[in-house]
Amino acid sequence: MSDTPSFTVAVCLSIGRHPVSGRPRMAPCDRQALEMAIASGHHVAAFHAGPGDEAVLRDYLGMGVGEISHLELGDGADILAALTEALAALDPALVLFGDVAEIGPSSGLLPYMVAKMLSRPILTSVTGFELRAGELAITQAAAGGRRRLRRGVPPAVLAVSRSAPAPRLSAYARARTGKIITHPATGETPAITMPELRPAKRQSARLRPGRNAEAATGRRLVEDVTAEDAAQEILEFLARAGFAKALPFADTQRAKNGNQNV
Amino acid sequence: MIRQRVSPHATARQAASGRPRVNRMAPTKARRLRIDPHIETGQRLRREMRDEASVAAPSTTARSQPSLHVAPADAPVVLVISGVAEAWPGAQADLLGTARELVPDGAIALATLGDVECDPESAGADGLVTWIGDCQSGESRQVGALLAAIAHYRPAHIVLADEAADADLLRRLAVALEEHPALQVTSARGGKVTCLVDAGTRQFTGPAPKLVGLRRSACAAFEGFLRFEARISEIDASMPGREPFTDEGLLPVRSDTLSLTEAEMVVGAGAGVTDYDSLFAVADCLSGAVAGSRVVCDAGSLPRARQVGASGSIIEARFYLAFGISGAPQHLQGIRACRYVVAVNTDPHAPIMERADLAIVADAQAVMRALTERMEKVPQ
Ligand SMILES: Cc1cc2nc3c(=O)[nH]c(=O)nc-3n(C[C@H](O)[C@H](O)[C@H](O)COP(=O)(O)OP(=O)(O)OC[C@H]3O[C@@H](n4cnc5c(N)ncnc54)[C@H](O)[C@@H]3O)c2cc1C
Repeated sequence: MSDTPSFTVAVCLSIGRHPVSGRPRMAPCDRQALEMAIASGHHVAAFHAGPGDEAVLRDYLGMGVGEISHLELGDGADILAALTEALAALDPALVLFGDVAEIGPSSGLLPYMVAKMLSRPILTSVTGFELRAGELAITQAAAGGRRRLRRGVPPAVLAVSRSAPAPRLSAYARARTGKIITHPATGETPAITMPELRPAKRQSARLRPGRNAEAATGRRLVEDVTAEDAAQEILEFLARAGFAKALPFADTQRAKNGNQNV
Repeated sequence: MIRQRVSPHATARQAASGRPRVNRMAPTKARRLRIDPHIETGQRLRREMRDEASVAAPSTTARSQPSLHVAPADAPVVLVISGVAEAWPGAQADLLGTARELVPDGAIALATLGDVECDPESAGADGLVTWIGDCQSGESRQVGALLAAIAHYRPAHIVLADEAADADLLRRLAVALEEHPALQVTSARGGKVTCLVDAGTRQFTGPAPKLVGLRRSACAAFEGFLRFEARISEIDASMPGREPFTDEGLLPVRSDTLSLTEAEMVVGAGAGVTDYDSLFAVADCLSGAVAGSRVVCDAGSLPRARQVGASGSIIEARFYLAFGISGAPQHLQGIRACRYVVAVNTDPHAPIMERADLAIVADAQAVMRALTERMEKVPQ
């Protein structure tokens, strides 16, 4: 289809865990990363490092990647060394991760460490990329659902945001025919073992005594106004509540009113 | 050259002095944004706590000047870092307060890549960084500047928000410093931190490592009646090197593609809306996402994916503008997390008018048109 030479895009896939049932599943963010890789049209190399879970890896295969390299490691072993070794050998143009994992520290630190080990720059919160003729254009999630455009050159490590396009479904036929290639890997058990874990407490924001003294915006009912005044009310309200886009409209109007009153 | 982010309103004297620009409006704004007018009980509780505080403090001291707190020279330093934009409104003050709880006898310094959004002298900053050179453009530059500040203070702990863009900054610093950070911290006091793991389902408590990433729920600003030195340290942020990724800016927003669940502003239409061109025009002016009630989506006026409510999307937008929406319970369920609701409806007794912070009894079509007209006449 495309006349530009194809690059290799590696995707690192983890085993997730359903937050309610606790059953293993594809990690949602990793699915989105795989979706992005497949949709890019480049050659996809999928990796999983860890003890593995055949059913979940097959679900990933069902999304349309031909094979997954499974770097087999014991439970709790450090996957960083195994993963970087395999990635360095392959030398792909891009390495994709999901932004957060569902098991383990869920710290989202792994992509940064892999990037450092491979001496490649990293960009996170990625919602899309285009790789053409050695040029890389990336969209990144920004505040308020907006997207920022970044440009660079491969090789790079990208961590895919939860705001990236939704993944395709997993097809049973492809899940069955896809291959899982197991490589026994050596990984040390990490030095930092996690202390005793307890169920998380529900979080609620801390009370801040003494603050919040003045009321911002009480509830207000406005009747019998012209549409223009209603519009102005709305803009003034939004400006007071801190909506940046409304600020210029509120300010000038207030100044104008002031002049009229004088 | 000392890099200054001086607002056009800053006086010449401010611009000439060596102090970074302190956004003095910010703390009031931040405070204001945090009250929820719907939670009556919360307000009452706050009032009680405030009364208690005023009973405890004799009124004479309350009226006098706060006494100056000077951290001893050998106090362990805690460096509070904030990125180009605050992770949440009031984050800098909240992080400063929490840093003091983590190390009560520490010297707390604030290094922010953006504006100082709190009053450092009352929020608890013993030290304050001003940058020489560009500390903002690009991730590498930001990390480089912060590493210079860290080298200057040699802090025992470095505290950041583990939210928004600061989460990225925190992880970059962790990798650069080769320090294993405490992330998703939900409590930090007396040298101990509690971290969430396994996607927030489990937690553990341990001694605080060098790098601490705080969730918003762990944080509270300093409330004591003290003044802090906010002593300035100039840090050289100018360094050679190239950014691996250029920043081409924000892409234009289209109201029909902007994600409902991510948007800061959502403009909702109900059966009372007939003029959809105006609806989209309003949403475009406000860079908002368009949404609809079930009636509207059933009628095919908006796609199903745009439905807000019990059987549609649950949104967390900060602002929700409801045009011609009655506010059925199933719809209100979808906007429960919205902080500010504006409703325009011809019926003053519609349930949405109860939920709204600003309720306007008027024809939706006319108001939408007036809003667009008003906003298209750009006042510079
Ligand atoms: C199981 C179940 C699930 C449901 N899930 C959802 C859901 O997810 N989301 C959802 O939205 N609904 C849901 N509903 C439907 C819900 O009960 C309401 O029927 C629906 O929300 C009403 O939509 P509406 O406000 O657009 O229409 P209406 O209730 O018809 O309200 C129209 C409003 O527009 C006002 N109006 C009329 N003309 C004008 C004008 N010119 N200018 C200004 N205002 C005007 C009227 O005063 C009225 O208040 C669900 C219902 C059930 C039973």
